[in-house]
Amino acid sequence: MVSVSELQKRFDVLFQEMGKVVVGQQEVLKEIVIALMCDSHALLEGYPGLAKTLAIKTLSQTMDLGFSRIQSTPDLLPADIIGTYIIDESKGKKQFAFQQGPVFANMVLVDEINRSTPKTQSALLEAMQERQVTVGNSTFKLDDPFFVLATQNPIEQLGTFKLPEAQSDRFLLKIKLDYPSFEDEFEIIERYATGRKLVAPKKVFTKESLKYVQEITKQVPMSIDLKKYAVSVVTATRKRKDMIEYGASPRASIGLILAAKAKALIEGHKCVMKEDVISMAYPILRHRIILTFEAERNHLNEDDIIKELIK
Amino acid sequence: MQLVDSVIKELRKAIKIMQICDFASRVALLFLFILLIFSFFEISWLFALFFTFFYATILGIKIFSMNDFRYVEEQSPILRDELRAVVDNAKEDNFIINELRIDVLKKLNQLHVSSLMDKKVLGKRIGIIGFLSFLIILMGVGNLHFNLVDFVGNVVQDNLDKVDIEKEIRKSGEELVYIDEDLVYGNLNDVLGEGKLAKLGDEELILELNLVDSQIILGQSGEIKNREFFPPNFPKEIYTSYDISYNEKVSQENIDVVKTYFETIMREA
Repeated sequence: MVSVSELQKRFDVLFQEMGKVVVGQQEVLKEIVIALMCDSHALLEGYPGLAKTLAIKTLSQTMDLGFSRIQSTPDLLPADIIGTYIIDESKGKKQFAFQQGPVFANMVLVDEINRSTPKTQSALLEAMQERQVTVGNSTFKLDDPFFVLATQNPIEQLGTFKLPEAQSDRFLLKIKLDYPSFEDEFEIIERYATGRKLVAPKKVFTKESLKYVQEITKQVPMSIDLKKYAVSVVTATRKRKDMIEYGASPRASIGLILAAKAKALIEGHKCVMKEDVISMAYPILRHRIILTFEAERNHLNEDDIIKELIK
Repeated sequence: MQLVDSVIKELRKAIKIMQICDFASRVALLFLFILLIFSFFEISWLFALFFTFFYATILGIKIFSMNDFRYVEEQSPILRDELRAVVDNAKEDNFIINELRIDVLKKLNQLHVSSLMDKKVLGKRIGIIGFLSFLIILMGVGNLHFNLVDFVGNVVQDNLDKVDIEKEIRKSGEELVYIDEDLVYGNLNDVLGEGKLAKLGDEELILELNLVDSQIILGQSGEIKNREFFPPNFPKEIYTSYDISYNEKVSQENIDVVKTYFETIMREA
């Protein structure tokens, strides 16, 4: 058993290690770790070259977990993700054996997920929700913990397939990456354009320690008033018919409470604060609401609407 | 854990007392204010009681349904969200909640219950309550009031009377002619009597009769009869008829004067 301050120190070390590779983007790194603490998945969205993939790869290096990467393309097939049966001749006779796909890892990076077809995207549905894969008549359990960290960019929409609502709802967080500040960008070129030797990050969390953190995240105390506030923010998305065509599901309420708890733990709070709920409302809700034509016509985006709702 | 429970119990009691004080002072303030106004306008105090009761119901729901500990957190920001988390998770037992309990106890130790009460506001309220009470007593002793009900009633009644009179005239089939009343009363005082007297209403009129000069025989006077005073209903044109005997007595010049009398005075007006 550890204390909250010890846990916070551990998280500080984790972010320091990640900071050796990724410059800036502190909030993004925190949100990715929050998704892991909530035993869920995250979708990273940002323009090309903002270190989406690098952030996930670096995180995998700080955790003693099985890591695999899927580069999505339009001709990627479900079998390329979940695996397929092959003829195995190793034991002297021919028999079908299941060849596991890259989804059989603890941390799966699905790069540019919107470049794969909906059929291939859907292959991840069962894995993300049920933590299992069904091929033919056989169902294979995935290792625990299991995270899908996917990336996509909001431009170059030609030849891409927008994630179906059911698919995007399975991502706990949609994390938006913005351009780095001047200082951060200067540090980036100092590190990557001067031939300086990069230091590899150390492993901070093992599989067991991560599972332990996931357990205690659920135990972070939260007042009833704050729980009601979180639920009221989510349900408000279903009432604002003038701006939101489809609101968030109850999965968003669960996600918001859990993510706020994880955020509180990272920040060293001993209970959930209101600002934890507010800060997590954006990544939890932004991919779960569909704006009306009227809202889009007024040049409003999801974050503007969420800002209005949490007032 | 027991220590936290007992501290929270005590705190809850203190908050309840403060809430009751807050509630009572607000309600008393409103009641006295309404009572003062209603007393001045001679409106029954029961109405003041009714409005106060209505306000007290709404305020009571607002104050007493509020989370007690949110009130403390609002007054003491160092306990922000933590106190409620401890209270709402009283049955939980893990290292995070235990650490939180210790933290909250430490912070409560620094908190003075008296600091939860806004003494300035409460003092102002008590001062205003005293001042309003003094005004009410003063008004009662000095019998200062304005009968708003009668005033409004009279205005309404006057207007209704006017409408009734116009209705009567229309019913009689005559054409309604609007004439400047002041002008008419001014000129017809000799015929209809003093116009102002007809408007005395409930006011007392003292008449002094000189028995020597008076033509009234007191023995023959009957009971007082109510009489309604209608403004004169003048037709638009006056037609005169005459016979020869009358014609002999009235000169043509006088007939013309009578015939054009109203038209002339209207034009002059």
